[in-house]
Amino acid sequence: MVTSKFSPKEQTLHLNLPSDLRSTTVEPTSREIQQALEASAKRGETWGFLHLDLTEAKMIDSAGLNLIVSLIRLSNQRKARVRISVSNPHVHRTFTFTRLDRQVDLQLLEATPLTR
Amino acid sequence: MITRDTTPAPTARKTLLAVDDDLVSLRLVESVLKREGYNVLGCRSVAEAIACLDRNGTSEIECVVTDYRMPDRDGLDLLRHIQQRDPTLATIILTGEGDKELVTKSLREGAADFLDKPLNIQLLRSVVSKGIAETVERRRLETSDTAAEKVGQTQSQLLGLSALREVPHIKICYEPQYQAGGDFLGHYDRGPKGYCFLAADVSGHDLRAAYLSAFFQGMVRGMFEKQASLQEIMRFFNRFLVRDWNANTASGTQSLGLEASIAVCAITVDRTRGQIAVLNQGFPTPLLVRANGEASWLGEANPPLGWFEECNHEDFTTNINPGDQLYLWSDGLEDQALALQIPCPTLAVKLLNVTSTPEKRRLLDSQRDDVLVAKLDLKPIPSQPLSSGFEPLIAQEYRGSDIPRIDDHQALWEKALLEAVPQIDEGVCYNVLLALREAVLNAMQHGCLGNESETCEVRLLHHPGAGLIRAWVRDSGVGLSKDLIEEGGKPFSDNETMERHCGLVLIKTLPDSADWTENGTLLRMDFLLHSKTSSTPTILSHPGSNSHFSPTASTTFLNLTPSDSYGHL
Repeated sequence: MVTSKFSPKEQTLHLNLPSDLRSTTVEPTSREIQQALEASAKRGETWGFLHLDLTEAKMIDSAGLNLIVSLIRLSNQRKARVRISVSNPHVHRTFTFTRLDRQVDLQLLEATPLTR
Repeated sequence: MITRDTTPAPTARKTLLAVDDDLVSLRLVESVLKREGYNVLGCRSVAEAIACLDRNGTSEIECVVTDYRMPDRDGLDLLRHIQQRDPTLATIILTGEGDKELVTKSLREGAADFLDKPLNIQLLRSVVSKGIAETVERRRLETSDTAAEKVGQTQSQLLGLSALREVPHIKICYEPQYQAGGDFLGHYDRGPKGYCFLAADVSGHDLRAAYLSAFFQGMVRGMFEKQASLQEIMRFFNRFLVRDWNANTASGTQSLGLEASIAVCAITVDRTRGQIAVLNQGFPTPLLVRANGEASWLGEANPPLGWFEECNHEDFTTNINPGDQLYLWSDGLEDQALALQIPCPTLAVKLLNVTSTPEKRRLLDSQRDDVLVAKLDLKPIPSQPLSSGFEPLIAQEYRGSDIPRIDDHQALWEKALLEAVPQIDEGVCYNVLLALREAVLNAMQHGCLGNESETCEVRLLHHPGAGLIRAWVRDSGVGLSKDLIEEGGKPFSDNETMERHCGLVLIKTLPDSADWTENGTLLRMDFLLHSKTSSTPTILSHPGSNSHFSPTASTTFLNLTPSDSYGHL
């Protein structure tokens, strides 16, 4: 279940994605993110940063990357920036291999989720 | 109501040992059992009982009745002594009434039964009688086991297993489930022209299967000497099984079900022509592994011998090149692989290479059938030993519509990798799994267009000498266009999020090399086991320790030499 939290001080909307982003899981995750974004808009939250907490992900495949690309596009339209936290070094490599790390602020953390 | 006593009637010749420090109690037991016609040896301590067993030998005694509580050593001490010395000898423990803990302990340690004190005479007679029957049965089984072991040893000699193990171009692993089995291996040298390797599996795992297996082996050898062709041998034996063996073994009565059948796979290597012919009668399909790591299942199996009177005996022929190897296994390996949840080729390779006994025991845990694996070097390269070359881990076909099951497939690949290379670097493992996942998803979605009727083949191989994992993915559909491979697979460039094919990006970047051929329907990926690209980046501190987001360090991209092959990076 995707959870969200807004930090007005940091102008950041945190989205905690609880598992791998794979072709087999990306559809429900995408739906939940959509719901979280709509709920945030209803609350009138304006964010300059979209933080995706992926510290629980052990693998992200192309379907997961596609989801992230669509979130980057959405953020770009809002003149916002995407920040991504990962804890798995191989997931981190996936971003650097594909050079998506140049589109986002990517951080490799120890394996504790940010927004709990 | 008349009840039938199934316990055997006592005979005068049975000798029992009774042990009790209490003389009155001992005399009572002696007198009851003597009246039943037994010889009873009475002892008043454990030490005395052990001395008596030494004097008479345990094989002369049919049952021991011992009190538990005695001053020096107790009844359990005597039970342990007997269990060590002759576990076939039934021991009955006399305990105080209601001592459940002791009863449980006695039974756990191997006591045949127990009796409460004060003794119930009727119960004593019955329990002793059953104890004697148990000893007799255990000794009968032990004798049968010894006989079966001797049959197994003879069978092993007949199979020429030790001689087969010396043949330089063959590596085998044969593990019968019991002392004697129904599997059979034969190697028939045909001089400089080549050889024939034959593996057979008789239905059933008992001595009858071993006997039929030996009979078949003798027939094959004799018919080969008379210059009979393999087809003639198969035809003859099929007819023999259908008309004679299966018709007669049901003792003249109509029998439902087959009495015996034989699955056979014969590989004829023709060195002069550079060909092999595979004649398969109901055996699992052999796997041919080429020197370059391509792996394919060879031919379709005909029915096993003994099923139908009209039976195909067609063979399948293919060319062989230096370094090509063939893997062959019986269905016992397939059962074992299923139980261990690892792919058949992975288990076959493991069994051929395993040297440690505990590891072998793990792989054959709760073995369900005879397990036979063979690896044939079809055209040896003189400078290379048999152990060199690619070892198959996965050789599977998936339907184009199998996309939702990709996680299950990936879990199996991971298991195969960890079995084959237990020390594999986590990063290399991740690269292999993710790139293969993407390649298979690509083949299913774009090559097979998600159609159930289209398939994609997946091969995963390990080259221990080169420290390499090679993966092949081939689809039966349209493959990928050159433009898509070249343009869609480019990594994202700075500050743009244009449309990219993320799967292709991963396929092109995760392996140490990736190469498309056959109009984009065949992808080959290589992963070095000690690749620099799998190195782990530095982990930053956790937020809360005044860390802040920072752009990641630049990534070193692979500098792969382009070739003129289609789609090579």
